[in-house]
Amino acid sequence: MINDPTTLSAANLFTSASAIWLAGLVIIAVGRERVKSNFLAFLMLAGALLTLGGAALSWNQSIEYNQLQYISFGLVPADSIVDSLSVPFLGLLGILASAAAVASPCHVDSLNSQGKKGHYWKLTFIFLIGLQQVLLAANGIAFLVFWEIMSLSSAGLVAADHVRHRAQRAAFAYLTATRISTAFITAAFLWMHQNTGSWSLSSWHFGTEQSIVAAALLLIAVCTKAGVWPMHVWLPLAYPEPPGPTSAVFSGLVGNISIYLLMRMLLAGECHHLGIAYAAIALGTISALWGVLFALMERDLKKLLAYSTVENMGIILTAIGVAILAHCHNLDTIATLACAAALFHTLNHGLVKALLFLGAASVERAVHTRDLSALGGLAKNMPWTMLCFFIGSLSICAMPPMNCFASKWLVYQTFFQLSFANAPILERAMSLAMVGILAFVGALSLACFTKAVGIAFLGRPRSNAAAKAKESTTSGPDGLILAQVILAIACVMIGTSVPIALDGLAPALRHLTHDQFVIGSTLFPIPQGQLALVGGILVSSIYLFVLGGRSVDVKSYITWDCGFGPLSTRAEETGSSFSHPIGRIFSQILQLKVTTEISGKDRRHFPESVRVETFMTPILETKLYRPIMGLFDWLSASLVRLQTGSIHIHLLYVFLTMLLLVFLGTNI
Amino acid sequence: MILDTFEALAMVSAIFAILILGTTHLRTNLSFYSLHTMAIAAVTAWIANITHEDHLYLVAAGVFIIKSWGIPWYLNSVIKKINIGTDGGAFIAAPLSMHLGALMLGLSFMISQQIPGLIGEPDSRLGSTAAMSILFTGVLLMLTRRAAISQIVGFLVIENGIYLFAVTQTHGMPLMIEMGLLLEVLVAVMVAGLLLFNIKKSFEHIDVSQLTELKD
Repeated sequence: MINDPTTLSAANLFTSASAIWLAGLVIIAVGRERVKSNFLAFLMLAGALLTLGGAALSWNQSIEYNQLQYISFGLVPADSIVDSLSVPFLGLLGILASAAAVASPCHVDSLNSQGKKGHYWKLTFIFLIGLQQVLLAANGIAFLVFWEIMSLSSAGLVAADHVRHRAQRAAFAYLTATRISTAFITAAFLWMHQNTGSWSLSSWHFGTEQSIVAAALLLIAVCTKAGVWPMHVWLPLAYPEPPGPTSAVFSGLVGNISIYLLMRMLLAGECHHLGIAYAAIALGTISALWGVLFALMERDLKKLLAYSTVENMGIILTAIGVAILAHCHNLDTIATLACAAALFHTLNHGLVKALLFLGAASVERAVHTRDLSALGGLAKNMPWTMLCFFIGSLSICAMPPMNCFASKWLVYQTFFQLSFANAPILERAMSLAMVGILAFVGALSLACFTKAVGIAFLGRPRSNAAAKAKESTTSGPDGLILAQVILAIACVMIGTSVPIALDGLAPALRHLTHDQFVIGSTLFPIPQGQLALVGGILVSSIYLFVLGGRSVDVKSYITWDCGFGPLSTRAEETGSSFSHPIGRIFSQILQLKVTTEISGKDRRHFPESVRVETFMTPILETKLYRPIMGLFDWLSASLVRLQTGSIHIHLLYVFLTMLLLVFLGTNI
Repeated sequence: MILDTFEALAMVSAIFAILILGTTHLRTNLSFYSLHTMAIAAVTAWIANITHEDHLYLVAAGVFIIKSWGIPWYLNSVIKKINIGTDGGAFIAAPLSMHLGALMLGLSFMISQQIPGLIGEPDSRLGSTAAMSILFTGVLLMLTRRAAISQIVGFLVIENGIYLFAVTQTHGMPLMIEMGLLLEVLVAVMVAGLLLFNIKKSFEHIDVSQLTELKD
């Protein structure tokens, strides 16, 4: 197998990408301030492009190699495997890492301390190596090792701005979440190893009775790491924190890697447990609703994006749940559709979320805040960011002809098909209900991104900083803008050529469904690209020939003036007021309270001052997590009493432990 | 039950260890410790004789010289210098703890009948009984005595128990490891002796039950 020239060269490309990133790490560690950031960005880009090239070479065939076998983890050496499932994710890694590399120099040059620069480069390189090797890992041990490298380095990235209390809190929350998920993954891997006697990921099958424990453990681990309700509380804290360019890789891949793990284990491993399927669908649905509601109410631009990740992870999880369900009922068509939906949406969401996070980073760089109530009117000063953010928003709201439209369409299609399929009546009813819920979630997410774009970029600037915002550090568009443009082009290209993209994913789908006759392009029969082209020509010709002739009647207003004439900055629509009506409907879940205080002598007719305050108490944090944390505090305070400080008592512990072990060992 | 000679010697050493529990007079303790270690050296030599593993003679000699002469002599000189004759007080009265030690010997016999997988040739259940009893005796000594010097003796007794277990069940480890262990014990005792001086100098006593700073 290793002698095949394509195999060898693909393997070489992956290994050299890692080697280049490792070299970058060494160079920055040794060279310190002498190293130019452009050079390091070039190394990062080279590694990313090599990964992309390797993914392209191994697109259609699975290759196994062990070029890293000299790194032995005791039980097994670090074998690598590139199969059709890991290739799309490697491709995504390549694209996102390229974008991050392009955006890096201007970010690093704007940092004022050498320590921060070194911190950025080192952790980014380690993070990329970890990500790539996780995707390449062929056995459980290698997977866990690189998973840890990835998790810990990304925790370092979350703590990049570690003097701030906010970043410290985020880093601790993120660390807790990754610890929990690693613990569960380790337990699941050990369980599977105990059942099968092998460490190889591809030899684990989840069709047996005993494997349900491992499947459940994996589901918990993935829900924790991907940020699915109710384990998502770390996500809005941690996602906004990594520095601009890496936030693209972080937001686009950290959650997706765990989805990749779930696909590799439960879908490719032929999971046949109805309970797991129901759990996945239920958690995914709640997560989608919860995420989009909180995203809508969020004032912080990046936190809004983070909650939208919660929503999309929920949608992907429901699709995976349906795929398992369909496996159980032997509904092959639906299984294929669901797998395609989950995989395609995962990739699209990764791409789009990275684009949106880069946009938010660009806004934050220009205005130095992410608070929507201090933004506004950025469209004039930041046209490129506006355009790219708009494209990303269109896509994530599943507007045709964008890429997420295709994947969400597949999700809907899955549920429609399931409701007409030969399945138990309850499941059919559930899937019909799911269509409604998905439509509702889609509408809310449209509202949410209307708010994000409309409040941040349109209207009047709500602060001085927003009025004076400058898009780029140089005269032309700089790296950060360029990176957004790259990702936006990728989104549009995938969106307009969905059949080609799905054909490209066909090997992965065959791997997931074990169905050798999957043809990707037939899954999505809408000629979206052509329609978009025709529609675009039609709209522009109407604009040119019909509206263009009567341009005298057109008056221009600022967006939120709503045709009334110039409102002042304070009177125009804010993010909170935009989302308030929907917030009122769901005030029970959101714990939204509004207090209005009108004061003055004749306060009914001539109020002197009006004071309105809105409060939102995060229900999950206060009602669920705070008691749990309290319990842990109490437990550890009780445990500390064991530590008396007396040597004799400590010796007694040793003695009792020894006795216990002896009795356990001899069955007396 | 026919007692092999080395098993009888191991039992003798266990009984000497239990006798250490019976008095709080430190120099008597050390004399008993010396006798107890001599018995262990004899066990080692006897096993060397049975199994024809010549390196065990060397180990026996090492144990005899370092553990049963060197260490007691050194600790004796420490006791003389810090001028303390008896252990200030025991949590359990000395005669009672000696009887406890005897009970432990019975318990060890019960345990060693149950240990699975003792397949050494000779399969010495009695050797392991003695070893485990010595181990328990050492722990008991550390648990019940207040003076720091008794803690050192207790530690040495535990170490002897582990060594005896290894030598009766596996016929000793390679020479290098045995010698390393001996050296380590020697160094540990030296350091502990030096620490004793310092404890005495700083606190005017060597009562470890009053040293309770070992916590956050």
